[in-house]
Amino acid sequence: MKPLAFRLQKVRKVFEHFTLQDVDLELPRGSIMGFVGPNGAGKSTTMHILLGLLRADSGQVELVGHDIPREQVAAKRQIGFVSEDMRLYGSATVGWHIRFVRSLYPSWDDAYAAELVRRFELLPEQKVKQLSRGQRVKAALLLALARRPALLVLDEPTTGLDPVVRQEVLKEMLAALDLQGSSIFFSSHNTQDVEQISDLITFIHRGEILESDDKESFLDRWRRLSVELEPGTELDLPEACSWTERSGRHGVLLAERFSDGVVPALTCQGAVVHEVQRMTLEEIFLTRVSGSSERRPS
Amino acid sequence: MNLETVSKLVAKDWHLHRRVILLTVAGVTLAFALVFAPGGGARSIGFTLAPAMLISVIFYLPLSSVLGERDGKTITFLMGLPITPSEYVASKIFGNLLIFLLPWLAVVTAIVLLPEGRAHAVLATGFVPVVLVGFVLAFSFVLGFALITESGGWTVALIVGLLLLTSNVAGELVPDTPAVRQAIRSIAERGSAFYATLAVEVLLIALILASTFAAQARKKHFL
Repeated sequence: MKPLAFRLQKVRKVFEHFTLQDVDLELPRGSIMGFVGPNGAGKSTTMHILLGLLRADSGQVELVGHDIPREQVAAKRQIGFVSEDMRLYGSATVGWHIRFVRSLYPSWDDAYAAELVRRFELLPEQKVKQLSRGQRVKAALLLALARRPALLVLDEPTTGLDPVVRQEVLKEMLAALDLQGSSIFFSSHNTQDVEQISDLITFIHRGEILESDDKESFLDRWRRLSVELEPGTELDLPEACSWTERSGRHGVLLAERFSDGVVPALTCQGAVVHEVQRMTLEEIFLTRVSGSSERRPS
Repeated sequence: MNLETVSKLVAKDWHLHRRVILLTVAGVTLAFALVFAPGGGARSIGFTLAPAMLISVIFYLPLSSVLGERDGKTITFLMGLPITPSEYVASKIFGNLLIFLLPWLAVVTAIVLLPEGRAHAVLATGFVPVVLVGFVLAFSFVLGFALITESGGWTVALIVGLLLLTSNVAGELVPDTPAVRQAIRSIAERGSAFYATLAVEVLLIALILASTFAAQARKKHFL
């Protein structure tokens, strides 16, 4: 069994209007997990608990082999954390930030930091308040990467970035993984980013983990089927299939666990299956979230 | 608690507030230059400017250094680093106290070095050390309050309350009895009440800072 970058077991946190519900999640070392959920789903809360910034009401957290929050300092020496709502000191320069963070990390790599400064086109003497949004994210990423972390925890790092900078940031995250064998735990509500770089995908909604699996399984399992059938015909749907649209003779079925037996099971009941399409991660996510919302009493 | 980490965090705060440190020390120096300058007007400005500089630091530092970390979202950056809550709190207490003590020590040094004369006579009374240590007490109180409440609104309310209490209101609250008059005279003449008041102030400073540290360092998380 692969060693784990982190493990959350039955982690629960209750706020006045939100509850993180018994989260079980683990990430093998060397993997990238995309953590997908709408705003307010519990992504940041989960990450803050993982890093010891928030304390769970119950459950256990293990981060790079350390118990959290008890051993958070030892754990955080091996962690790079960048968050969308994190700010650097506006009145200080990029160079000052580099020196400050370097002083706290024995593993700091000066040559790599200098290389990132060049690649990100940052000026060490430039004050953070003079940087654009994209440059600030790059500066924060530089500070996280040059410490050579075993795990990168990135909370919505690409939010608000233009497509060019977003691609640069994603490319650098992947480069870091190749270079040093880091793991990445990466939250986003941008499913395109997640689909592009993740090995594993976890959906979270209203504080609850809906599903966690490897990306290929997700994409392989889900299919959209265009079906034609005689008006008034009721189909005995195969397991984990549901109508998403139906009007007159035509309808669209979603299959959550598509297999070779689904199409024959429909055609033998008189239905004509015109098309079987793979779904994008965004479509799968929206289907899962809407399904979860419908099951939940309002 | 790792003292090396605390010292790095203190150095960080000193770097980020270096302009304020320089400005307040320059302000205090200017104040005492005015005290020595010929003419009553300049001397009056000097006597007002020195405490004004200390009061401005009491206002500025807790709001900027403590509450600013939270409001500016830099605390998320800081707490992602290998730092414990107790190291963070210790750095905020020591770092800010040291910053405050710099202009404060400039005031004390200027008073000690004052040549004989009218200004010297005024400053040589027992009230001045009591008021000066009172500034440190007020700063410690505001700093501890800001660290514990993490609220800009309440901290400003406390500062305004302290300003009211130590200005005209104090005079109205203290009863005019022979015992009080005797105590005030004893403070002015550096009698036993003077030393007792100083001891109480120092004790309160230690108590406030220690209890702030104890309360905040027990926290297991930052956000």
